[in-house]
Amino acid sequence: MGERVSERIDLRGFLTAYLAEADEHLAAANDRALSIDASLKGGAANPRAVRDLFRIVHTIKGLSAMVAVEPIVVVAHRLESILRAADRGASPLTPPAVEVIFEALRAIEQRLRALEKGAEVPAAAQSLIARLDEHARPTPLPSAPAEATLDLPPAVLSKLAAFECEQLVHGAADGRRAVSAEFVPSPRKAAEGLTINSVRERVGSLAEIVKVIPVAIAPSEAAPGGLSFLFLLLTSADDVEIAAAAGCDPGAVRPLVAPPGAVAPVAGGGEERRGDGGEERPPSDGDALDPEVPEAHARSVLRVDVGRVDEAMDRLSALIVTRSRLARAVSALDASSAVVRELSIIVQENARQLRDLRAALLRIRMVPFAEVLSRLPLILHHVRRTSGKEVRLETYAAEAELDKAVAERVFPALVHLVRNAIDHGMGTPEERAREGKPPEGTVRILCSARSNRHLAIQVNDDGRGIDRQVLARAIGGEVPANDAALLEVLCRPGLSTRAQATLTSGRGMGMDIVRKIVVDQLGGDLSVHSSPGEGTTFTLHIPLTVSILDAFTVQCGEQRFAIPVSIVEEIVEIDPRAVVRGPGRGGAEGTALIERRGETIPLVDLARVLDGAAAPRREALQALVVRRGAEPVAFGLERVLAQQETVVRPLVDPLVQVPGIAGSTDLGDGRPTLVLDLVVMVAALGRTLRGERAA
Amino acid sequence: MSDLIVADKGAADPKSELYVVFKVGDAEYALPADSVLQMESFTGATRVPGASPFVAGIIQIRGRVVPVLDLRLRFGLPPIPPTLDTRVVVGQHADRAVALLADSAREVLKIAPAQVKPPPRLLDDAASGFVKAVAQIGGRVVMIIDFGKVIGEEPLDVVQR
Repeated sequence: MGERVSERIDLRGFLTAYLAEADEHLAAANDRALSIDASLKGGAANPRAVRDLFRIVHTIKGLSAMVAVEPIVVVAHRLESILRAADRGASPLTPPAVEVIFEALRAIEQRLRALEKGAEVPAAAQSLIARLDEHARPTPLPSAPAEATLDLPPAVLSKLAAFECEQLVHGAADGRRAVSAEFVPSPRKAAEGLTINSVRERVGSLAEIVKVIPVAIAPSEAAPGGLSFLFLLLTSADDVEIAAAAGCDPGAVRPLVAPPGAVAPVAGGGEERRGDGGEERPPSDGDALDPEVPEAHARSVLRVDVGRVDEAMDRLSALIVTRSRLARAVSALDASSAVVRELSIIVQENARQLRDLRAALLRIRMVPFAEVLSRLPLILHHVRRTSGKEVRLETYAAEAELDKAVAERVFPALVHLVRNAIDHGMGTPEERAREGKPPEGTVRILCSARSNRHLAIQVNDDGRGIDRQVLARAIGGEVPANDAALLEVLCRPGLSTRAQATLTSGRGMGMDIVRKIVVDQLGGDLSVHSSPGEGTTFTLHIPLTVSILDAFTVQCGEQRFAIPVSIVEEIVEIDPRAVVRGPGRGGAEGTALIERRGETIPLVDLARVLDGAAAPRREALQALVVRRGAEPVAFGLERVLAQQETVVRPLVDPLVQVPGIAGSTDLGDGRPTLVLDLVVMVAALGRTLRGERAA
Repeated sequence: MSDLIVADKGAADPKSELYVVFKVGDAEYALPADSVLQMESFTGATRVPGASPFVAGIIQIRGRVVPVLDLRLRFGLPPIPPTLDTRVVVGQHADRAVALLADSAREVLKIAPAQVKPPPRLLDDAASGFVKAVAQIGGRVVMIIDFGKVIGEEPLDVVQR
């Protein structure tokens, strides 16, 4: 049995690597598809993005074939055919084709998610396959470009892809000149500052560089390397200017487009070199010499499975637990009046080192917030298409980074908010015109570090704002008096279904889920501000990491709990004679109140909050005062045992996800101890109380 | 797991698969061995207030924190205090690891496909789909459970306080 298990784990490990890699390629693919879409809307082709996308899809296909995920291979293969045809200029991409590409990429994504969940990977929809096949069929080349031809030696022509030939011919037809200029590098020129890179830059400022082709020539005194670079350009500058920039004689600048009807056919060379398409090597961007391959910047980035970082974190947790045992042993020694000064210094030093190590490990898990946001434009694209609304997304992420685990959780919440902003908050271009607004709406995502532990994210739209009257009618309740009340209404579970039918200007879809993520899962805060006619802003405050913290350990009934020190305002001793009880209703006991520094604070029994009326009544001896917003609550318990560093691990399994339970920690006894987030509990208490009042 | 008895009854058929067999009440249940990560004696769990009643709590196994699901309560039997025989069987489903609390677990059986039958319809209704198949081994009836259903594939609604 042991063997079988390890076999399975190996496969999972392999799949994890596959998924990580496929996800990365898919993100790049979506990015390219978006630029193709954008270029197409501007009426231009984007040959480089098409070629990139072709190459990426080819890679995805290859990877998927290796792990035998046939449904993805099937889709990727067809996608590749469309892109190959487009890359060769045989069948330029049309807007419907781009839509099919998006759909295919989405289908691949869905299958990756299924695979990740360990679910069966469904076969691709026949309708999608059919449409992919339809677009993969090459349409005949428009005849116009064939009129003109490029005056280049066949060896050079063979290095050009069809789209590049086309680009040159079209550019020439549009009134620019298509020329070639040759740069021959030599030590003498390098001494004058003329290298391939500097020449590229200088020529690039005068002309559009369609391609640079390295050409082997006979070594000579002028060309000791036996190498020259042929620049194929579209330009409005004259030969002398180009020659000066390229560091060559004006005679070395030659026109490329000959009068119609002359020499070689346009798309011929590229086709010939690539064979018949039966075997699809991905197009390498020319040769090893091609100076254009921009790969260098990616090299310093290490892609690591999060599991490995977590493993290191777990080891560190064990170390921290050992350290607190050591510290306890030292204080025991100290209590027995042994001389422990030296030992104490070492233990302190050790604590500092562990803190640094922990910080370093946590930094590994941090991802740029900009990267999280980079997945949004794709979603926007779909929403735009289905809603017929014109929307622009502006994101301001600055340098903010957050923990991978937090990023993954917060992303769906952002998607919800952006979708809602467009679906419910934003009018169609015509409606907006009537409101005196630009036809294109704007959704802004601003992100700022609130402290070194928290991030504030604002999702803002310039739509109509939330109509409180309509909302009130939809729920059959009172008109929310302020933004806080508005949020309560928006976050009612189930608002969505009714809302969609009756609310045209409100929003509510999935807001309960957004709040669950932000407040319950991440321990953050959610607020809303909406003004009629001006738009709506949601603000999320989220912690950057879910990590190690200083915690009080407390005894409450039979159980011990850990409570983050940072959220506790004060520990107060309870004098039972000073506890005042408010009026109760229907036989229920009233709320207990205590006085602290002129402020009246409700005192709730932590055991009762956790276990309801089933908890045996105990006299609270101490209480922790916690504040949520302006609202303080004292949680009564038996006693606070100690304060220590704990490693919090979130409870991820749905069986044990309970609001107010932030995770679990090991206090050194090898058993999990629950970490309570009393702030979330205050929120939950508030909701329960309000709910009872409403009922 | 050294106290496990590996029976060899289905060994003749090369397509036989290994199952971990455990008892809940008077009935015997089985889980494919390749979805079982581990088995341990039960020394108590940390209660999670607010979780479903059939969640006994959380335990830490090899540094991993997993929820413990009390099969007696899940299958509608009255709870009993743990004994020396009580075992947790830690199973893996997709990326979740969940420990099942069983009255005892001491056997790994090889079961041939021919011995496995779909569950009788009436049983299936009563067991809310927890039983995926029934294996007849000699005179014994062993119910192969659907681990995903038992642990709830969909996220459960959080119990409101």
